[in-house]
Amino acid sequence: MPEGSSKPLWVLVVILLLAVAWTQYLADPIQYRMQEKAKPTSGGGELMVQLPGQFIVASVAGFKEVIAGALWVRADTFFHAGQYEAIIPIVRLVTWLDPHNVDVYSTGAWHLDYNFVDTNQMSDKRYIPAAVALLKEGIKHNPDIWDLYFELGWTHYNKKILDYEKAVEYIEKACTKDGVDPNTGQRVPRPEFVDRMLAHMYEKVGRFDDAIKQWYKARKRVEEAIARERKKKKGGYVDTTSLDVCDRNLGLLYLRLAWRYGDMEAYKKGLEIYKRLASRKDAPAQLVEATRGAEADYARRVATNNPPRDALKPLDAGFEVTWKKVAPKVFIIKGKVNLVPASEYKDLASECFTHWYRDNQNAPPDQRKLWRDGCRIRWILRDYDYKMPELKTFSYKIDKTKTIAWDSVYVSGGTFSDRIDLSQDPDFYPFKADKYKLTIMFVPQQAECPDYVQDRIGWKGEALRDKRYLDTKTQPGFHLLRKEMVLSKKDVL
Amino acid sequence: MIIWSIAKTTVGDALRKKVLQIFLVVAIGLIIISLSFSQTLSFSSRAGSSTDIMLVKSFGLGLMAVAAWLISLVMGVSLIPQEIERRTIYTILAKPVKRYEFIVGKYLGAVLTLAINVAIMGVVFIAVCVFKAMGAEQPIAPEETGLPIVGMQQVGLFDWNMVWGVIMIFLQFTVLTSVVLLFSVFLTPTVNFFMGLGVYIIGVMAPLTETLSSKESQLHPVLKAFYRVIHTVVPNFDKFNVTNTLLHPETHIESMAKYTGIVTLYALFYSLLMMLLAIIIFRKKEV
Amino acid sequence: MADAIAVRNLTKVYGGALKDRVPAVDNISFTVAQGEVFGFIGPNGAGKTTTIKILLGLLFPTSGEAEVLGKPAGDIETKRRISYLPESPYFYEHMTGAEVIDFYCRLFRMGAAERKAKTQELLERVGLAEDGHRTLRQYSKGMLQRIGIAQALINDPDLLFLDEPTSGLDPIAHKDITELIASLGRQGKTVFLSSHQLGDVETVCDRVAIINRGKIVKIGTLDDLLRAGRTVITFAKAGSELVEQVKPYAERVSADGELVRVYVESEENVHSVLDAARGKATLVSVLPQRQTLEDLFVEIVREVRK
Repeated sequence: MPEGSSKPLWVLVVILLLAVAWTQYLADPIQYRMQEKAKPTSGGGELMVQLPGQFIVASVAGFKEVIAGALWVRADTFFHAGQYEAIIPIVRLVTWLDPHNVDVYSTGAWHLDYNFVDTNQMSDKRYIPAAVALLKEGIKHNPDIWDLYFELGWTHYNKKILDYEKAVEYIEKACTKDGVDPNTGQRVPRPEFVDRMLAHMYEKVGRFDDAIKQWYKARKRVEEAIARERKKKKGGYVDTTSLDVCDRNLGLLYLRLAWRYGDMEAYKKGLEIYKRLASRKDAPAQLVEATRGAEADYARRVATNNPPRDALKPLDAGFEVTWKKVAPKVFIIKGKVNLVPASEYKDLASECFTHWYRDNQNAPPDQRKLWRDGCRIRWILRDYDYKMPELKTFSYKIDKTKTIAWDSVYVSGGTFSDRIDLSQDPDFYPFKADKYKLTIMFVPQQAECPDYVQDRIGWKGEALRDKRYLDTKTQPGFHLLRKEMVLSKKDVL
Repeated sequence: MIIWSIAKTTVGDALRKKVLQIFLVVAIGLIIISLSFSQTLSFSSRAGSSTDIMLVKSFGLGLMAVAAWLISLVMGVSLIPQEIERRTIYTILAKPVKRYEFIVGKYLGAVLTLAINVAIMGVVFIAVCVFKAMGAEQPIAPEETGLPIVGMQQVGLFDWNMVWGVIMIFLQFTVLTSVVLLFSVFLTPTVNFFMGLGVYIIGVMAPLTETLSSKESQLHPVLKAFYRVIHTVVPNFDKFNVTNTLLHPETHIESMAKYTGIVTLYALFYSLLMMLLAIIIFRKKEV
Repeated sequence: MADAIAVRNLTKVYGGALKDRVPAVDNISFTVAQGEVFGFIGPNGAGKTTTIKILLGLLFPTSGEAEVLGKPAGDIETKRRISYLPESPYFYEHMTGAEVIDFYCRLFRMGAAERKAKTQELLERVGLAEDGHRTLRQYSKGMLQRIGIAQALINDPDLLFLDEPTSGLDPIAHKDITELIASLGRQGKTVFLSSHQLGDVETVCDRVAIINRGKIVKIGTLDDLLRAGRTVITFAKAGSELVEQVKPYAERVSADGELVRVYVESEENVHSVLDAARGKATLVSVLPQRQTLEDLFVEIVREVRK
């Protein structure tokens, strides 16, 4: 041959082939970590096989995210048309195509949690496990940012029954993660409200020491955020409301610990915070008045050695409830419970600060009833053997033969009643079982139990007593009211 | 110097190809049009205009990949055959030009052409991204938490990840160009076009061949070995497809720079391999 | 002095091992001396371009040897001293005439100053000094051919391969290029001119080989091939016995119906033929003639086809 032997070149070919294999070997593990979908075991390949041909072509052409985006836009039109059922398969597809689109997971879960509603705007609880599974899948793909942990925590707190501890766990997890700039992808600190939310959560589950520590942490993060903002804006206006939010919440936590459980040390600390807030030039008059009231109360109690212990004084709930079928699948719930808001009590310790009783007395008669609304009583009606499934993988196909419904009824002035109509949505409430379990309960932790009720009964319902329905077992340390009934088919249909 | 002269001539020739110009202009036009894309998902608590930017980015990266793909294929298939058809190769090889110099010069020219095209698109694309990001805000807190919304936060303007994205597109298609160049030594342009297309599709589906050849695969050992060979020999174009990671960089575990480094090496070695094979064949090729 | 080109038993069969392929070049041998203007003529598809490409190392022989300037064909060093003008050359259209020449100069690793001077000189030499700044897209076929010639002259080659340099040109370009080739010959360059334009070959070549269907059917100086004193003796009513009888004296014998033509080279042989034919056939004519190359070519080709 004109240019010499090719043998040395073939040797080079082999060397290069080895180099190619070597770099592939180096890059593979990184790629798997970056692209969950590429991991052979968890099925990059299967995914390709499962997806329709045009998606393969599109993804080959590098348009996966565009397809995902286009589908997502389509989902929006379904949303506006009220076709929620059409959205969820799109969520599935979009998360397949674009497993790192955090927004799709949180929005998808939100749809499942909130948007499948019956004629009375009650959401279909059967979708909750699917929402949880979707969020968990999202976390698997996006483990390093706070967003989906937070969503999952929120779902556990607000949607799942009695899963507050789990909710705290997830929010705690969210508090260890960074956030991310949605455009540049640069790591940014997570928003401070995540930390604040954790403090609220600790308070809800009665971990007061943790709550106090968390408020200090959250406050520090807010300070840091404000400092960053100052640096960035170089003298421009910087909103510092978040700092006050932290202060007021922590101060109130201290004060409530005093009012409810008689912790005078906490009283002092809470007052210090409020005195500082009230001493500011722009302090609102209400705040100044409240602080003065609490100061006077504190001084009097110290002088007479009479710490308040409102939540430790037993309160007979006198819980009575009836559940009556008035037509097939239509019920009337009616009852009494001695859970009235603080505005009904003359001598609660918090009155010195909140003046709810006083304001209630001074209110014009037509507005008085607004002051009577208190907590909510929750009812849960479900197939006798219904257990909320734990889904390992996300699937939006639910068992449509099962029935579970819950909602809550306002307690106003110590009584409650509501008409519950489950007859209009046979899809939601098929009532196929022979036996049903009805639980009617009051849980002091639940989101709907406001501070002005807790001021009398405590965070954990410590003050609650009831001859028939007191439940101290379901949640150790907590006093719940709980009535459980078994309904036959006849009682329902 | 000979290699450089041949490369320069190749670039000049390729840049004047109408069909390549059309790909470039259409791609740039579409990238600019994508500015108007938005997905106002009003039900989403977190979808602000940041989601719109993501759509623009995803579309732009995808579009650039398609344009670069077409450019490298259309340019690559005619690299050698056109020289023969025009008989320019005879005057060149009748001069004291070694055959490898010709091949290397042609490849270098093709890669330069690709670089110029991708760079032009990349600059427009990144400008569009920055423009879209200007004034884009997103709410800080989700609504359903009931916490007071502290306000809107401004999103960052310049996304370095998009630069990585453009580089990855360039690297990816230098590899495809090298494959097509090798084929163009002995295949007609039409056949080569479809061969290049096939190799690209197999290469993009690398995760599939990987899965089929993995330990967990249920296939017959012989088939597995076959897929293993395919997986190793066919360029792994999926390695360059990091769009999703770039769009959602929060999932970065390793630094993008390290990964890009390894992938650059991969592209380099693979292109060298293809070039070497092309040279070996071309040395014995009758023109 | 060594031969500029030496071809021995060269055979080229296209398309690999298939046995029934017709060889494009079939066991040819010839030499071209240094300083010679060598005409390589034959009809289209006769094997001219194949031979040139083998000599340039663009194609590889199936068997046989091809040496150029004392080295095997395709030697990279030899290429510094040779040049090639392909048939209807085509260059990168986007370049100007000057840029193309500059590009080819680079292939010889020339420095910038040398390239500039060379480009200018060559453009003048081929009559394109005025058009060097225009892109080749605006060039006529004749101008492209001139660029082709210019690129073939860059290295001041000792040996030039010109493949159909005048095909499709207008008369003026034709004349210019023919003159240029002649002047190359006068400068002592070896020129290997492949053409089917026999007029050109006749004008400029010292020696000619006629190739047809891959075989060299005639080779020699123009004087040898077209020697004066060639005589055609035509008989009528000649029997096959007579044809056999005159063959030893004749260069060729051709029968055309009743007429038999005997081509005889020397006067002596004319007599011998006439003697032999006496009484055995009717003598039609005895015509002494000087052939043109074209006559010879047509004759040979026609004969071979029979």
